Amino acid sequence: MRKFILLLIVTLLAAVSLGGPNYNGEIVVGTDQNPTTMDPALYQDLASAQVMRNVFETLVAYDAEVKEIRPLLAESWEVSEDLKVWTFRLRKGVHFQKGKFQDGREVTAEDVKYSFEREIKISPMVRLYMVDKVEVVDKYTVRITLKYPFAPFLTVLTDIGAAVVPKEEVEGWGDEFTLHPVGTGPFKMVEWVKDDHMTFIRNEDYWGEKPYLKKITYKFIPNKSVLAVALMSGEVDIASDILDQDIPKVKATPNVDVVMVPGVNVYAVYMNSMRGPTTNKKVREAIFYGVDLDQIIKVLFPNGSGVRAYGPIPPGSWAYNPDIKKLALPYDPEKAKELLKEAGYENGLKLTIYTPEDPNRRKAAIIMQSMLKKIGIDLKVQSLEWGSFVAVTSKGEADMYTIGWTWYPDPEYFIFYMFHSSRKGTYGNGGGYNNPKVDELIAKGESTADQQERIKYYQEAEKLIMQDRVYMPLYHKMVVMGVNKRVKGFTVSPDMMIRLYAPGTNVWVEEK
Amino acid sequence: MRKYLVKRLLQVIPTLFFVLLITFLLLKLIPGDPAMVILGPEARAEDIARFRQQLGLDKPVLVQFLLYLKRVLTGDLGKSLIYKQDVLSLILERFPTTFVLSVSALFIAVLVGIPAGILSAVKHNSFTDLLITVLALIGISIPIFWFGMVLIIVFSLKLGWLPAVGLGSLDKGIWDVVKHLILPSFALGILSMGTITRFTRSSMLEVLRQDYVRTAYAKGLRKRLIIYRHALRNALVPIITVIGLQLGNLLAGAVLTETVFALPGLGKLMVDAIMRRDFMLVQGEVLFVAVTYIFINLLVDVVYAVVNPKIRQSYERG
Repeated sequence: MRKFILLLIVTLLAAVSLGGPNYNGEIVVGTDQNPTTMDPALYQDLASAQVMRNVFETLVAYDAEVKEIRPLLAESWEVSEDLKVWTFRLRKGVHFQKGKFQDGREVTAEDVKYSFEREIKISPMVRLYMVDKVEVVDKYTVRITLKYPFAPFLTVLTDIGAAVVPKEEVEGWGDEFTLHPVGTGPFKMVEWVKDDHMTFIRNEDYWGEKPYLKKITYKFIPNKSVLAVALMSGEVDIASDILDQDIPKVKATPNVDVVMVPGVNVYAVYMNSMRGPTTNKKVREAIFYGVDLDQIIKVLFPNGSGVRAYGPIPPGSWAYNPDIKKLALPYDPEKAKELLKEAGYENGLKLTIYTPEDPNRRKAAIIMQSMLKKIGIDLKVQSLEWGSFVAVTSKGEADMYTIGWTWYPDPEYFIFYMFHSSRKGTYGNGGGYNNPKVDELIAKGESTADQQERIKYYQEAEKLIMQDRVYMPLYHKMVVMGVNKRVKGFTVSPDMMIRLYAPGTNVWVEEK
Repeated sequence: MRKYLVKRLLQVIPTLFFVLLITFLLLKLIPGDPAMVILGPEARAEDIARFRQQLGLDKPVLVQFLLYLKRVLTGDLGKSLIYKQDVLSLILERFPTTFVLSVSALFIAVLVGIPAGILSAVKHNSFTDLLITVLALIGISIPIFWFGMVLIIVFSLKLGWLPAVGLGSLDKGIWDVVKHLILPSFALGILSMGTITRFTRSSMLEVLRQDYVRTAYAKGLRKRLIIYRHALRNALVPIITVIGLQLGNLLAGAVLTETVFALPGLGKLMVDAIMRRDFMLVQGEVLFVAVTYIFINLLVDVVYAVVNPKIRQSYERG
């Protein structure tokens, strides 16, 4: 009998200790990009945004699947009919982390006003550029008036640039605020050795659900293959990206998993609309018929980390249209040759395609080169380093270039930036695409409140764009991350941000 | 000696001026608008224009240079465009890593290279000599990038003896940092090791052929005494030259090593800055490296004087 009781006790203890989440976990995240600043108003890159989310919070935020915008510092909000006036009611009892210049005081509407006005004033790339004024209605209510109706405004507010910062700390630290960030978030930054690692510990006074993780360390490992090795040897628990060629190796390692999620990105060949042979629609169609896109995908992504794209709106966006596939042209080299003849290029045609150093885009261009040779097009591939690539392509000097684009899942951030005529002269619309009907549809999408209606406008625009045959979608890259089996509750986000704590997410780790 | 040092220090000024000027102009020649690259493809035209104006990029090139020069003379190297932090403080944060890495690599290179070179010279034309010469050649030819990754795969992944990346932390004790530096120092040092071996070998051979060495043997002195006291002392001058030059190479090669092993050093900072068009940081770093290099060269020249009295005399003369 005694033995039985003992066994029972031991089993119960085992169940309790092996079972659920614990509050003592320490996790190491390996990433190949290192952050440049911890000041929300000054950042430019994904790497900085990612780590800032531990310390700072915005009024609203996406969940880890980047599908739904949920309340965060704001509890509720209202929008005026004309989509210009947005009123937010703040959550009560949210406190800043204790800092050198303030003792952990409560967040009020004044802080939102201060933070937003600061962003507009000093940010090199203003994210709140559509904001006209920010007014404090009462202690917990803030009213934002926009310069014009802008339906995607909530999405803009999820950007970490719109985070709420404490005035005393910002002004107290001055230029050094970036090294001593203080926000309202679930973690505090305790150490930053530039280019090596960054350490965060749990904010014990956090207003929300207590984070399970006690400590987070980000290790910066610029070489992706070395990053994979660090994951396999257990030096990091999460690897921010795994190259397609390393996937089998990582899959074969027993204590780690490879997780692939469709990304909110699209890579395509964009042709010049302003000058050169590609201004002739028959030439463009010939190129569409002359390239076997399925073959390119097979060669580029033998391990499945990329899928064929059919339109500029990615599957990760809520405005994705699966029917856009129907507009795709089949691989038909004979038809391509015919079209070239009709366009007057019977004796061949010379074109140049520009790519950045991204190995995937280079490979795609080189495969295209051999395919187009068969139909009489002599395609030269020019691979440039990033700065030069952007310079050449945004000035419209390229016949074609391989464009990669990723941003918020709101279709505005794909369609506007790549296809609106006003974006001519920027990297997004380097070829000077100009279709007044598309511009009109975009304007409607920006100024309509109903999401379903907005989806219709952007999908209609996408159809017109695809029918113009100027933008040839290649692939959507999957977000590929390596995750150690001891990490629980982690969802890979389609926008590549590693979210250890977000609305609906609270990651924990099994103790080592 | 003092006159010599003063003369050398004065020569530094025009050298640094030209370094600054050339770097400045070279950066201007790189294609691409820095504002566009730094702000990213999503930036609006107004943001780009404002940024350019803040950086003074709308002024004539000569004016920009003179304004920059004025700043540098007051000790202000400006702010990094991507890190938004003071350039000098960024450099000083990273300098210790690159310095420690380079010195460790040099230390390993010298520790192995000089004895190997001496052995090779003394056992001239034997199998040992051949083996050492071939190994040295391999060391010189090996690409650091590849070698570094091989070391990581073998010693870190397969054997688990040493950590793969990073610097380690002094909080965990000095041994933690040393552990992290072993593989990168070896990867970086292998090239210098090869060079120093070959150079030591040829320098020693040169000296061992000299009459005074034959005389020493004839006098009946012990072989070891001859090699280390007489021959090596004289062979050292060219060897020290090579070691000094190697330090310069190491600072450059550190870039690749720092990238593979994820070490937060100057080399990596520089490459990132160039790619991202952070010209303030690049200019500041080039100036810093130039000053360091000049200082090292001066130090090497002083060491010559200490080691060889004949050289000391020639300095004193003119």
